[in-house]
Amino acid sequence: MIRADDAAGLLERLRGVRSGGSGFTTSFFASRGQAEAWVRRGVLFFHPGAECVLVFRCDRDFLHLYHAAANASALRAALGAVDALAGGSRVTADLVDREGAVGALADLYAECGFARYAVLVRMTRLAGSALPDAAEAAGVEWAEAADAPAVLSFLERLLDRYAEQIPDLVEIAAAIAHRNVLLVRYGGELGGVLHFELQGKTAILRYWWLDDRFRAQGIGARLIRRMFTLCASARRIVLWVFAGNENAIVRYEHYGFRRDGLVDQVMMRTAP
Amino acid sequence: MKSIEAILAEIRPEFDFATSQDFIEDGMLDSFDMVTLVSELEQAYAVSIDGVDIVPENFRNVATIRKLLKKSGGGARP
Repeated sequence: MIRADDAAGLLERLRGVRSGGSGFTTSFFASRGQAEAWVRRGVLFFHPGAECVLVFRCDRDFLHLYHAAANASALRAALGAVDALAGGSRVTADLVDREGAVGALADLYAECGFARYAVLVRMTRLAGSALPDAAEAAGVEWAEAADAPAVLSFLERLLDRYAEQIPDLVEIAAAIAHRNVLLVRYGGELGGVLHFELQGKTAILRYWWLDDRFRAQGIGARLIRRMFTLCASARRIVLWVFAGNENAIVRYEHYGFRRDGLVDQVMMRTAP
Repeated sequence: MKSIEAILAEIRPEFDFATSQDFIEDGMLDSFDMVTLVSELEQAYAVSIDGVDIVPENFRNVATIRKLLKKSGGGARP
């Protein structure tokens, strides 16, 4: 594998794979800014090919795999080299597409030794959606730099690292510095955290988590109402949630989110 | 033949693309939308868009998309 040292060059390499045929697929949807951040941190590697490029991103003790392939044959051939390239590390792949369309790509990955691990669905809330309650945002604070380790510990304790792309300490610190992390303290501890980003007219709700010990205290409502206020200029807010987490889905629907048809089929390969 | 505006409206019906001169900057199209948009445009206009042209600059607004289609061999006015 080759370490990526130029995000623009890598993106051009991925685009170059596209031959104009109808078989092109990709799983690399990161923005240029995100790719540049990863390159700066030295966590992106790639395996070049004329018809298929594989990209690996180091995350803790495993790898995220992305691809850009001109056709299924090229992808199948490239995936056959994953074990050798990954050097024994666990590998996950996020296959994002419209519901009903992601199955074929997932089947191809499965043929190449990947197992279906989890499914997430995207939900969208449009501007103008009514708010269900009048909870105030009292007690909601901006996270400070010193909160980064506690926020990381909180997320690592509650989230699935393989499916939910937990940020690391550097990323959390950057998010805090950019005023993208809200929290509520309860009895001196972190009761809830909300991490969001505003990108033009789209806001992304990255994480909205409450400590189980402090549920039914209105913490979640306060956090999300504050986010809605901060993102008032956004036309839509999007989030990803496990397809089987009906409790969370119902909660999001309560706040005006609806499934928009996009799914993320998370695949996983462990070393043989 | 579907217009560019119609294709955009199908992909992201919640946005009024007529109010923006930069769909990417304004957060109306994300990278997944761009891939979907390319696929829809290729089908609607029977063109093949070169991978190196799939850059945000070519999808900023209807005018740049129209220019891209023309470059890609789209004969009829999109």
